[in-house]
Formats: sequence, C-alpha cells, structure tokens
Amino acid sequence: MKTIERFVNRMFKQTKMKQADGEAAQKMIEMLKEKVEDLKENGMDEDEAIQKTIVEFGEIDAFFMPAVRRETRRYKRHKTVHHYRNDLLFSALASLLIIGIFALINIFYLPFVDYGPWFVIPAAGVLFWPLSLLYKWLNKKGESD
Amino acid sequence: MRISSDLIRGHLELVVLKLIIEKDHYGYELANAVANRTNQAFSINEATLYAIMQRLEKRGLIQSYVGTKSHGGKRRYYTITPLGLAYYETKLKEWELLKTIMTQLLEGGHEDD
Repeated sequence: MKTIERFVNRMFKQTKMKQADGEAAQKMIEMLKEKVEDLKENGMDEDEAIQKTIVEFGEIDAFFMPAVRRETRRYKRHKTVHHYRNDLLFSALASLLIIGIFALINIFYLPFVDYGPWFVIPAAGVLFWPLSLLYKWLNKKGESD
Repeated sequence: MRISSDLIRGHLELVVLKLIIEKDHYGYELANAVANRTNQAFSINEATLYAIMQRLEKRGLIQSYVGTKSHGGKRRYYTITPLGLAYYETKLKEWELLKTIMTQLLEGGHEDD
C-alpha cells in the first residue's frame, strides 16, 4: 500500500499546486486503496491489484487542469501588470529627463526673455507617453484585482 | 463500440449524482457501477471520478463519511445533500431538453412545414 501513497504523493508534488497538501492527496490515496481492496476481494493478489490501480488511474490533469489554468491566467495577469508598471516608471523617468533637457536649453541657450517658456510645449507632448502608460497600467491592475 | 469521453464529459456530474441518489457509494464502487451499467461501453477512470467528487463535495452537493464494508476495510462513502438533490433535478431537466433538441436536430424534423 506504500506504493499507492508514494504514487499519489509524487503526482501531487509534480503538479506543484497549492492543493497538493493534505486532505486532497489523502482522499485520493483512500480511493485508490479502496480499489486495491476490492480487487483483492475478487481474488487478485496485492501486487497485481496495486499495479492495475496505478495503470488504470488516468491523468491527474483531469483533476488539476482547471486549477492549473486558473493559476496560469493569474500569473500572466500579474506579469502583465508588473510589465506595465516597469514601462510606466521608465517612461516617467525618461520624460523627466527629456523635459529637463528642453528646460535647460530654454534657460541657457534660448532664454525666456527672448523666446518665452517654449519648453512647455514639447514637455506637454512628452507627458502623453507616461500618461498613456499610466492609463494602461491602471486598467490592467483593475482587471487583475 | 466505446463512447468517446469528450461526448459525455459534461454530463458526468449528473451521472455520479444519479448513482449517489440511488444509494451511497464509495469511489471505486461508483467507477464500477458506471462501467457495469453501460455494459463496459463507457468507463470512468479514477482521476476523472476523483475530480468530479471533489468538485461536487466542495459545492456542497454531496457529503462524505467513513463507513465500513462487510469484509472489513474502511470506505469513504458519498451521500447526497438536499442541495445536491435540487441541483440534480435542475440538471436532469436540462438534460431532457438537450436530448429533445439533439433528437430534433439529428433525426430530422418538420422544418419545412
């Protein structure tokens, strides 16, 4: 019967799912042991019964597939949100840098007195970059919550 | 001829509930009952059966208890809950409707009338 326990525990371990612990595995072990017992009652010897039970078990995926799919989706969403957050940080820093450069040019080379604060115009344009990413990030974050 | 499992997959919950309503069963007994009742034309493996039982139990449609079998060993038996019974009735009606629709669609009808 240890073979059955090892078989189930190994399968649960392979799936790396949260459900892998405790009760779920225990119930599956119980169910398979019941089958072994029944086969033995019908005249099969224990080793043969255990082999037959394991061979006929089928794919554990039948049990785990919905959970695996859920986990994968959650992971992908999390990754996307993370990705958008990085993009947002990058765009915000880069925009600040670009606006800074324009401001410096405006101050030192094409001064306010002659040309006015013109750097505001490219700055407004550049700001749309982080703004659009902020919008996307908030949207994705809303979806994954 | 054996039936493809894809065809019947969506209705297995109904089948399992029906068997449990008839009498309390333990896991392997259910698998056996399915095979016997269909003259081995359809069998359900333990992985699939286990998945269904877990799902039904989680939703409160069946309950399990540990009982003993005449020959000794302990068995986890499953019994229907009132919620399970109500669910079964609804699903059965759905199945009846599906059966009617499929018969109408596949065996021809009077669409030209």
